[in-house]
Amino acid sequence: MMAGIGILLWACLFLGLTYAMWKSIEGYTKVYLLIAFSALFLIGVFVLFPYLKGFTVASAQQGLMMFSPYFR
Amino acid sequence: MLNLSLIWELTKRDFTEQFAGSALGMTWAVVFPVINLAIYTIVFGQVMGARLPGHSGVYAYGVYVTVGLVPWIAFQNSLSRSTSVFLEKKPIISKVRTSMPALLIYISLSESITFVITMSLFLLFLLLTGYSFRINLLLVPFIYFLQQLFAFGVGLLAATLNVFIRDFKQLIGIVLQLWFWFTPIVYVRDILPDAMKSLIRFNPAYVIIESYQRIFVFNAEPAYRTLIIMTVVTHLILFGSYAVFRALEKDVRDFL
Repeated sequence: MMAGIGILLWACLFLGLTYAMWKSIEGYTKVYLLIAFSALFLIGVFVLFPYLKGFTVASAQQGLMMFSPYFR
Repeated sequence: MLNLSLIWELTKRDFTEQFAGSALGMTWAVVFPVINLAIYTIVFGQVMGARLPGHSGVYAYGVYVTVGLVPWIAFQNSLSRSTSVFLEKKPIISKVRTSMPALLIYISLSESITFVITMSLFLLFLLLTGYSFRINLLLVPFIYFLQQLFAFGVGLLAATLNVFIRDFKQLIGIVLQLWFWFTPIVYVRDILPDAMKSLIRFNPAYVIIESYQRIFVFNAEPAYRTLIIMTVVTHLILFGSYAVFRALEKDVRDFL
């Protein structure tokens, strides 16, 4: 769940940034910037996704440990 | 520069033209994927009795083939059709002021519609057969995006060169055939000789297809590090292709 929301937020952030960049820059430079943005976006997805998944499991386990003595 | 309405119009026309004039019309857009999926899953799994090593499931091999073939077909069609797009869309290029690389987008979008329909039906099939869905499935759109970006990068370079050297389209066709058999889509990697196994790691299509196979068939994590390297390589190709196109754009327009 956390991973899904995280990736969705990441995608929204990049869509917004890309749109702002595309509108504000003139000429062919923006195509090269678009490629750079796309690379950053995908690298971000492949870095964030496993991290967020791990974060979900770890935080859930931590929560259980805190609130129930049976999980100690 | 980027004529979005033109791209959308071309995408719609490209997709609907396949079924224009037929009595069933757009129904064929669903019938074809259903038939293909039935061949991959039921015919391979049940009729021919093909099994995936280490998996006893009847549909395991069918799922393995489907998650390899469906993205491969999208990639293959995108790349092969992109190669000749400048020549085929010569009337548009000469009449409408538009970015030429943007013309490749409509091919990718049209292939993506077929991909989405087929994968939706495939997910429905998985749901009906009691498949346990994992969160890793969320990565599929991003892996597909990466795959299509790779096809776009290579396609743009091929489309530019094809204007000057018309044999390029045939060459790409041959390369794609060899590429298909060099990628473990209908066979498993383990049957390859050791020398080939180490070489196959450098096959970009393998990186992509293996990611789908890991997610759908083996319920495992895709190789994130390899995907990051693939992302970097793909974007370097995109940079290079666009730079080559920009350098040759005037000549391309003159030739057309």
